[in-house]
Amino acid sequence: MNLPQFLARRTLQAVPLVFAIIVMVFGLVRLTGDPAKVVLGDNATPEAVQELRQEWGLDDPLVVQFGRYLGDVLTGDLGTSLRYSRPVSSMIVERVGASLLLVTSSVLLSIAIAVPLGVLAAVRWRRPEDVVIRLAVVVGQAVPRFYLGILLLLLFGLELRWLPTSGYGSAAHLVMPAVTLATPTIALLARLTRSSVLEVLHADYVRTARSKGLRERSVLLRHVLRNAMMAPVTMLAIQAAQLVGGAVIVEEVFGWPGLGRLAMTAIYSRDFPVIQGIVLVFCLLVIVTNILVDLSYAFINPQVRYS
Amino acid sequence: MANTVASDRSSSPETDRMSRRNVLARGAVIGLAAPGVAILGRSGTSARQDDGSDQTLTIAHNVDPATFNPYLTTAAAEESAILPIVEKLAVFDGETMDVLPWLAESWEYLDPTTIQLKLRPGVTFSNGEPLNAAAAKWGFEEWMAQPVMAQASASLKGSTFEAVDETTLVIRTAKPVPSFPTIIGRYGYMLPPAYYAEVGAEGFSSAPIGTGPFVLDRHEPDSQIVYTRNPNYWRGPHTFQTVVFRIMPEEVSRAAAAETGEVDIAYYLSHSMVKRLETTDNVTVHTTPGLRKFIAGFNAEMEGGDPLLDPRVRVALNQAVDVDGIIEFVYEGQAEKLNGQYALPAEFGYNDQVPAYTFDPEAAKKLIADAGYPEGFKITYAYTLGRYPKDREVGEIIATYLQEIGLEVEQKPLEWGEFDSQRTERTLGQVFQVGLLHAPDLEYSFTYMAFGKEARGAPLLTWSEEWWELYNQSMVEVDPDKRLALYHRMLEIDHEEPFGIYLFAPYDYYATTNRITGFVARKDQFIFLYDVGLATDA
Repeated sequence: MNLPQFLARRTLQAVPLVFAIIVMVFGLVRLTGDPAKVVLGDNATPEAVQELRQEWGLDDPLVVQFGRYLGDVLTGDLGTSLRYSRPVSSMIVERVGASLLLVTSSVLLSIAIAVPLGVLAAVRWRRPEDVVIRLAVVVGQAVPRFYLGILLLLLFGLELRWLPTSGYGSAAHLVMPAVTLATPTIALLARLTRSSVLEVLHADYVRTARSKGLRERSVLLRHVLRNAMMAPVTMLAIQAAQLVGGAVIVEEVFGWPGLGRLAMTAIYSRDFPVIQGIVLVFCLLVIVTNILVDLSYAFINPQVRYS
Repeated sequence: MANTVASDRSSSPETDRMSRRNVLARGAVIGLAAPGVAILGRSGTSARQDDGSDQTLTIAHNVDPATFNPYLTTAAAEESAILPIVEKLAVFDGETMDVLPWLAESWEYLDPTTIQLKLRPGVTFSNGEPLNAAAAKWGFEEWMAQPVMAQASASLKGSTFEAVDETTLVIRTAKPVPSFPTIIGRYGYMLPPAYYAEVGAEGFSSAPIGTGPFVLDRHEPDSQIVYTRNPNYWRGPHTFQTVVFRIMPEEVSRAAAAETGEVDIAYYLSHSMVKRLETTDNVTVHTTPGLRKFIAGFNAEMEGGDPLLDPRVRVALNQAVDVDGIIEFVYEGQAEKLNGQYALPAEFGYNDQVPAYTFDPEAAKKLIADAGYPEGFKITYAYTLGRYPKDREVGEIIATYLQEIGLEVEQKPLEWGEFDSQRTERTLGQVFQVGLLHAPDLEYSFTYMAFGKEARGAPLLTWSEEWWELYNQSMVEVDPDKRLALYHRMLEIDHEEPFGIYLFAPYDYYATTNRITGFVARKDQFIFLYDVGLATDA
């Protein structure tokens, strides 16, 4: 199977998944309350609420509403925000860049920190370096992102004043949100890298490479690391969903104007079209990430074939 | 994922591998770098940092407004972002909540159903349109036509508006509207009619024009709002050339930004957050008892609510709860107790002769026994989770107090959406805890209760015939003294026959850096920048 065929097959496989998610989100958001009442507030008359529900088509049977929504989505129309009265697609376009920047920075940061740490821990197995890294990994995995974000903010924003406490627009603004989002992923990735490298270190071909007289660095980089990376890369794909979800909290803490912030506001105001649109975009992002990771297997190990 | 790839050691020419690898690597680099370059390449977000000038005022705000059209929102936090641009006919004094003239120079009842409004002459909108009586007439009519303003404008329903001359508007109401000054102080925004007709309600939402000291420069959603000075402002140009509202939903960030000097004003903080700021040299903490009143409302119409029909039971429930204790231990003393009435001293109508209930569980037990329930009764206590600060803690404590006088309390802690749905569907239960922010005239509190009977399913109402009679009189009494007397009597009845457990109004907190002067912590939670300036030694 060549690359286009592989991509086509993976895209087709994603269709039922996307459909299932659309159905679920469409149904679930409607259990959370009446957006007409949220928009009109406590001061609205029942007549006004009813009028707005009719205007938004919320009085129609669910099946009719879903059919209308699905038809719109298929033509690229994600609807109009009930709260902002603006097209959902343009609101998402405005913010998706900030979210992508945050998530991709976190992924890069995770790889840059976790892989060397994992390798070091494996190479220095049961030595002080390994113990310290394992301890740090446990802490990194245990600390909730919300709490970590506040701690970083208080330390680097308030006490040391090295970084702005909140906001967006410069590299300095990106540091704390990216570190906060990446930390649990760094911990998980480092742990997995450590165990994978440990496993490969004892493989026959590594012993052979060493017996050929290769320097330890070459053995590690050429033979051990490349073979040990399949599991961590797979884990990164799974973590993509976690990162996207985590971004919702991190964006709220640091005032980062991404999709997560929009999602939070939309949830509070029962802005159904926006919630549905964002979940759809998140879903697509995760699917695309998974496909990219599949492709990356071949990059890591050229002997991997698409099938 | 494992089923999508497989190892094939037999083929894959080196050239193909390299080509594919290069493509993937380039794609990854472009994909990852593009948004970064695009976004980080933009100009800085802080106008203060941009020009390094003291002429920029930076405010940490908690909410990104969904609209800049004041006819489409009643949320104080959103309106605070509109107020630099759009002004009202009248304003409330931030501390006393007295109604003061603003774009209107004066108002007068020519007779009980005729009000004459005189506009300040010579005021223009920032686009050059004049603020005249015709614009005010259009403004009232447009505002009243909005569904979201249905209750706010209910008392003006059926009114006619006549622009007598350039600055005089005569309003003929279908019945006397004693709260007219409160209405224009709370909702009397003036918008330019010609521009509004051109852009429409939605267009105005993103490109507002007003008579205010600033004009909108740009709104970066969920990031910041930048305003620049209106050079032709009728009160003279404002001290600050630029105002920036930075949208910071996290309270810790707002407090930290004030401490580091990143912002000049941090909006809406909690007591726990300002403890540190109070000891910070360059920061001043401002506090005021807010107007959001917390009450555990009674709903005798619910199944099992019969005991609540007896006023003795309702008084007993007030005696059973140690409101002072809750204020002391949950709010660390930072809330104002509702003294035996659903009213605060800052509200028009407050009765300082009505005493607070005394916390007395034994007396409460006796009253309940006297009412015919010596073994207590079963009751449902519903409260919100996270809708208001510390609502869960307060709900749990009050439920415990009620258990201690022998009631069997079923707690219903609910997320707001579910709470609101059950309220409408009349399934919420006999007692429910809410925090309500009304305009500072008791008419709004009373109307909410009366209105709630029909609209909200779970009524906050009194069962006294006399109360309803007084309410109807107060709604048409334009003499302030007579209306005050009516309110006082209504509050006495509400004390003898309470319609809820009257709780407290938590304090609101704001922080400013010491280079700022003229900031007032307002009871209504609005941000007024009109008199905010720079300290002379800043």
